Amino acid sequence: MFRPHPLYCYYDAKKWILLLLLPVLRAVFSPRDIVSILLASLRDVALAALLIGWSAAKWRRARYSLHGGLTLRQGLLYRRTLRISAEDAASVEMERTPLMWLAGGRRVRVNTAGLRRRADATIYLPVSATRKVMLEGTDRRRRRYAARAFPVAVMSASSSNAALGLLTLAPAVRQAGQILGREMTGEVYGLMDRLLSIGLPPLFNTLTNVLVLGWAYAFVRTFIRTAGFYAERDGEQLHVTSGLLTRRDVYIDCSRITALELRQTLFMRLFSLHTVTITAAGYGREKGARPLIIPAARPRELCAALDALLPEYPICAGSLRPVKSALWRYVWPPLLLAAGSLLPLAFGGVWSTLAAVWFLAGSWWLFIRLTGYFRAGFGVGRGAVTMRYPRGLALYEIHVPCEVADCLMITRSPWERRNGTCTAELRCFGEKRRRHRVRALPYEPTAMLARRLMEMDAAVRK
Amino acid sequence: MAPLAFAANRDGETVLALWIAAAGILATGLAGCLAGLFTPWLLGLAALTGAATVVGALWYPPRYAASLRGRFDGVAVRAEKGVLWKREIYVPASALRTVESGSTPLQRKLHCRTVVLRFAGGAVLLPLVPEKEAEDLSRALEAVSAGEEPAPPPPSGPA
Repeated sequence: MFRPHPLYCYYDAKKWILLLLLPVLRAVFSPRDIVSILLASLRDVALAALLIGWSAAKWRRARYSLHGGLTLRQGLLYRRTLRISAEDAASVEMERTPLMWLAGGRRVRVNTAGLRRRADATIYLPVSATRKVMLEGTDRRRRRYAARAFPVAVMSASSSNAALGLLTLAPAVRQAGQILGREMTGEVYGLMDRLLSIGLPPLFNTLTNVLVLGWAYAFVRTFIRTAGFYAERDGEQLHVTSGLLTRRDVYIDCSRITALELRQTLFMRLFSLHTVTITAAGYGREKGARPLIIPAARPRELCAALDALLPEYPICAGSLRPVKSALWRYVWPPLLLAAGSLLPLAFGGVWSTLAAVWFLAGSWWLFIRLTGYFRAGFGVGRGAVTMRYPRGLALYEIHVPCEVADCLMITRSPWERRNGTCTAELRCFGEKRRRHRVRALPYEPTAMLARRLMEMDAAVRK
Repeated sequence: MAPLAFAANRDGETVLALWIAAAGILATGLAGCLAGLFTPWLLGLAALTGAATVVGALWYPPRYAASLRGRFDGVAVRAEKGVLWKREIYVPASALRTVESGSTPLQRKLHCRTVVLRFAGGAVLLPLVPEKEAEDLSRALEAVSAGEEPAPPPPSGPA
């Protein structure tokens, strides 16, 4: 048994290190004589030192072994021994932050197929030991896909719809601030109101800057996380590497991939780009993590990459389409939203800007729903289930092997019964517990496909 | 194997009617209390809740019980339920992780159960299944998950 890397101490004690700020804050906000400040600081520092010492003691007692899997023993009061065999590990993630690079350590997370919110085991290892943990490659030819910088930049710019929304909102807010400042100066007579009207444009400018900075932060964060992305297929393993500052290496057992999802926002649609994510036990479990295998690629590049990375993954066409009369069901919510913009427009003045932003948001959503209607589909065949549908501000296409399609639900509301349509909903395993739903499908063919899915599932499992 | 069918019966209907009645009485009482505390106008709300309870307890349960039916043919559980929103459920037997069968005191008194089918992607509830049919279904699903041929259900009637 070996002792983990000393970085264990730092990451375990990280939450307590902030306690060392207490004396500084006390000196700033409650200035007293130097003696009382020093005495109070001693207490805070002693407490922080005690807690950091606790982490150091935990590190000294922690032990790991890498024989046929991972055995991890840690804890002082409650001593815990964790054993994960190599066969049970669904995915292994190795992380290298700049600090880890300097210290010569790595953080390794091992995930199994359980439904935990966090990794089953997290351990800090020296670089030499990580080579043992990482599943050894075979001698076969490796197939590789590397993401190009421009599509990754486009994906980062639009990965968060909220962030993109902030960017489009920014000019409108600046405009509103200028109009408000101009109009109020002419209309108000009181000193306070006049001062307020002078202060409004800078206030709105600040708000604009915050919005733009918020988007820039989201863009840089996603770009740094995704830049340098490449995925490699080696035998039964998929090796995904990404990150500019913090480098992540993830090894996934391909037989544990339960769903393949293609996602496209409207912004990415302008560039014909798709993002491909997978559902594999453990991968993408951490907060904010997305289980990407192709960050952004055009259709031809996408097909080549999927052929290289997941050639045996079952995929079928979504042949069953929503009925023609159901177009209204897809477009009425955004139309209603866009129509709502008439309300502020009636007030005029500064409200016109709000109406314009409101209308723009409604039109954006309408365009997505319209595209979603023309692309929506459901299909069962060739050992897979396929669903294409719009959700929120993005278009989705999922491919699930028959044997992992856990439950199919066909729901019919009173108006759907009247026009012979239904909503098909598929549930399968996923770290995010997402449901896939296609609306307004013709009922009889959908029920037939559901029966076919059950028969195929039984045949595959036999 | 011969398909194993299940459907809600009169007892299930009674359980549902009693639950709706209890919830309605509670809501009506609450609306009445609010009327006493704030304004008599809220008595209208209490009257509305009371009327909705009577309609709900008389109209809904028979229709829901009639809509709840399903079968297990050794391959998948297929069930239908819902009055306004009709729902057809298909769950392959091999996808099931656990089969849970539970009952409240009222359900025990009226010999019906709630069967919960749990799979990796979530769970499906089949409420108001008669006790014997719920047991047969659980037993058949357990047998399939253990890789055995499900045993035929025992003959009904007094032991």
